[in-house]
Amino acid sequence: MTQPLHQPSVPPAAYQPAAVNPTMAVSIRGLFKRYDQKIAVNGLSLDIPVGSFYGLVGPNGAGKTTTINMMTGMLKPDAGVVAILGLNVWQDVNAVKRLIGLMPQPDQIFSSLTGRQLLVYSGMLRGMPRAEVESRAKDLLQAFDLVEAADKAVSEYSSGMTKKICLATAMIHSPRILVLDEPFEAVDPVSSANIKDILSEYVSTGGTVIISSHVMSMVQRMCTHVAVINHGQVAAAGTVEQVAAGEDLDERFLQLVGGRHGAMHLDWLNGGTSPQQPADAQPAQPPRTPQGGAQA
Amino acid sequence: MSAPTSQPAAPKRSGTIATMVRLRWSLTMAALHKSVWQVVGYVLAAVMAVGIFIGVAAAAISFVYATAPYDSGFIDGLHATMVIGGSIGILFTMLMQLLLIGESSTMSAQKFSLFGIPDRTLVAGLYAAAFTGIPAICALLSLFAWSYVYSPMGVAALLAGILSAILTVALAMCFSKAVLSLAGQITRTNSGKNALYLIAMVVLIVSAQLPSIIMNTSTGDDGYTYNMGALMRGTTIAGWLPFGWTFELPFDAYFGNFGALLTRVALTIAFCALCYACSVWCIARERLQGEPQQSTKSEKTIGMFARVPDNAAGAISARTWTFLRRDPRQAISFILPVLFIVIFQLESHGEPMVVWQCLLWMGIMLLIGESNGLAYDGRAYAMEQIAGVRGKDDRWGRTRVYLMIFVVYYLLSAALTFALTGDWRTESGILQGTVCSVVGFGVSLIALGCAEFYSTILLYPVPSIEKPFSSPQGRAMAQGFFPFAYMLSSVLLAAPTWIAAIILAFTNWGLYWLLMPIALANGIGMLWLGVWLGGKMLDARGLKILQTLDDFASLQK
Repeated sequence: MTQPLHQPSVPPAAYQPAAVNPTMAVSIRGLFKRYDQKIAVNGLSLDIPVGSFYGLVGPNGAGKTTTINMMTGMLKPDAGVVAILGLNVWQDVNAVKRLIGLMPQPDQIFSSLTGRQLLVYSGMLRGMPRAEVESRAKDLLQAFDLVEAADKAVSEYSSGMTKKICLATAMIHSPRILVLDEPFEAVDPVSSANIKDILSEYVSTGGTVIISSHVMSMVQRMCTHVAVINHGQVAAAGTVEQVAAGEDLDERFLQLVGGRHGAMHLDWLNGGTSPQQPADAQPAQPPRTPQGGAQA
Repeated sequence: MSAPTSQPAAPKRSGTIATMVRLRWSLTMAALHKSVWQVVGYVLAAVMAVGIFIGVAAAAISFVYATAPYDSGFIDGLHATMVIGGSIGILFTMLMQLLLIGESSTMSAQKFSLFGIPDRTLVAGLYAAAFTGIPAICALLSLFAWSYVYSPMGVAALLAGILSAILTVALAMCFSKAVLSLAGQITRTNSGKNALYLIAMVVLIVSAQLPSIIMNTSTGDDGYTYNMGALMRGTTIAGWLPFGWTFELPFDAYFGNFGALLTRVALTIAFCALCYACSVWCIARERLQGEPQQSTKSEKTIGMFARVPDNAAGAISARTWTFLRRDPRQAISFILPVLFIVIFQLESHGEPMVVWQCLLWMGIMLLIGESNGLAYDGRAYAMEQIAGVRGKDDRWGRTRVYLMIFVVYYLLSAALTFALTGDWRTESGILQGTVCSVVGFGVSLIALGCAEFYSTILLYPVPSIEKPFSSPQGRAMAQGFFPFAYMLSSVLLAAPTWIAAIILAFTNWGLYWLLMPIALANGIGMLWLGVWLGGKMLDARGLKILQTLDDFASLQK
C-alpha cells in the first residue's frame, strides 16, 4: 500500500522505532543513516514477506544500496532496527549473515581464483564441509552454464558470467533469503534469462529474493512485491498490483518519485546549425558568394 | 534566414596544458579531503622535502667552507662521485617511479581518451603536471642548492651547475615517463606485467646498492685506498652516457671544454625530446591496439583448497596462498632477501657475519606487504564480511601461510649463506650460522605478529593487481611512512632477544647459542599476541576497514 513520506521528527538517538514483525523475512523499522550532511536513509520502515520476490526500486541516490547494506549487516545504521527471520541483525550479525546470501559485486570477489575455487572458498568461509561444498559447486556451475569456464580464472569471465558466479557464491550455503543489488546491470540477455530462471525456481522452493533494480519492466514481470524508495524513505510498498494502482508501473514510479522534468532547451546543442532549424533538418550549407547561388 | 552559428574554436595548446596542471593539483586537494591520513602523508612529504632542501644546502655550504680551495685530487673525486653517483641516481629515480610511485592512476593518458586532446598536447600536459609535483620541485631546488659546491671552481662552473640542475630534473622526469609508457606497451599481458615488475624491482635494489658495491670492490688490500685511475676511466665513460651528461657540465666548464659542454646540453635536450616522442608514440599505439588478449590458463582442481584444514581459516589460507602466487605486487618481497644475501656477500670482504646478519632482519622485510595485507585483498575482503567470518579465523588463516613460507625460506636462505660463506666447514661457523638463522626466524615471528595487527589499523592504498605500475592518489606518501610503524614495533618487541644479546656480549658471549630459545620464545609469544589482537581489531573494525578499502578502490580507478 502507498505510505506517505514523513520527515523524521526526532534525532536518531532518541528515536524509538515500532516493533518489528518476526514473521516477516525482513522487517525494518525506522532505519536511519547520515553521511556528513547528507541523509541517505531517512527513517525507512518496510516489511518483506517470506517467499516473496521483492523489488526495491528508486532513482539514483534514493538509498536502496545503503538500505540493503544496513539490512545485511554490511553497514551499521545510525538508528533503527532490522530483523531477518525474527533475528535482530545487529545483535548477532554473524548469525544473521549465515541465514542470508548477499550477492557480492564483481569487484568484491577474488577474480584470480577459478570459478570452482571461488565457490569452494565461499562455502568454506561459511563453515560448510569441503566435500559438500565441492558437490554443490558442481551443481551450481551446471545450473549457471559455467561448466566450461569452471577452471578458468574469474578475471577472464565476461560480465554476465561474472554476475552468475557472484550469484552462485551467494547461493552455495542454501540461504533462505537472497539479496541482490542490481543483479542484471551490464548483463547480456542470455545470462539475464538464465539468472531469472534460477531465481524463479529458488522462490518456488520457499526462498525469498530481494533485488534492487532500475529496470521497471523486469520488476513488473518477475517480482511479486515492490517498494519504491525515494529520498531515503519508502514512497510506496506492497504487491506489484497495489503499488501500480491500475497504471503502468513505470508511470506510477515516475509519479511517486517526482515525474519527468520538462526538457530544457539547449541552444548550443544543435551542432552549429541555426537554432531555428528543426532537429532533423539538413546541416546548413556554407554561405555562397552573392553571384553564386542559393542563400543560406 | 540567420547566418549559421560558427563552431567553437579548438582550445589553445597552452590552455590545455595549464588545465591539466590545475587538474593535477585539484585531484591532490580532493584526495586530502578524503582522509586525515592523506593530509598527514602530504604534510610529512612536504616537511621531508623542505628538510632535504635545507640538508642539501647546509651540506653544500659546509662542504665548500671545509674543503675549499679544491686541489686536483679532490676535484677528481668530486667529478667521479657526481657523474657515477648521479647516473645511478637517475636510474634509481626511474625505477622508483616505475615500481613504487608509478603512473598516476588518476592522471593517466587513458583517462583523457574521451576528450580528443591531440597526443602531443596530452603528453606535454602530463609531463607539465609531473614537473609541478613535490618530488620534482624538491629535486630542482636541492640541486640548485648543491650547485654551490662548484663555486670554488669558478663562475662558469657555478653557472653550469645551475644549468645542470634544471637539465638533470628534466632528463630524469622525461626518462621516467617514457619508461612508464613503454612498460605499459611491453607488458600487455598479466604474465608480462608480472615478469617486468619483478625484473625492475631486482634492478632497483641492485642499482641502490651499486655505489656501495663499486666502492667496496674498488678498494685496495688495506680496504681504504681507492684505485682512482680505474674510477676516472669509468667516470669518463659514464660522462658520455645519457645519465651522466648533465653531471659533467660543471666539470666541462671548469676544464674549459665548452665544446663538450654544448654537445652534452644538446644531447640532453635531444634525449628529452626523444622520451617525449616515445610517450606520444605509446599513447597512439595503445589507442590502436585495444584490450590485450589474456592467456587462458586453467587449473583443473581446486588446488590448495583441497589440502588445507576443512574450515574457514583453512579456506583463507588456501586463498592467501593462491593469491600470493599470482600477485606481482607482493612476489618481489620474496626475492629481495635472497638478493640482499648475494649483495652483502659481494661487499663482505670475507667477513661471514656481514652476510649472516641478513637473516636477522629479512623476516621484517618479507612482511612489509603483509603489514598492509588487507589493502592488497582490496574490496574482495567483502567476501569475508558477507560470510560473517570471525577475525581470528582470518588472522590465523593468513599466519599459517606465512609460517609455512618462513620455514622453507629460512632453510633455503641458511643453506645459501652457508654455501656462500663456507661456514659449513667449521664447527664455529655452523653454530654461528644456525644461531643467526634461528634468531632470524624468531624475529620473523615477531614481525608476523606485528603485521597481522598493523594490517587491521594502518592501511594505505596500493596499486590494483591488474595495474601494478599504477599509483593510486596518496599511495606514495603513505607507503613512505606507514610501514615504519610496523618495522619499529617489530624491533621494539624483539627487545627480550636483543637485550639478552647485549647481556651475553658483556658477560659470556660463549653462551650466545642461548639466543636461539630466547628468540623463539619471544617470537612465539609476540606472534600469538599480534594475531589475537589483530583478530579482535578485525571483529571490531571490519566494516570500517571495508569502507576504507572501498575508498582505496575509488582511488585506483
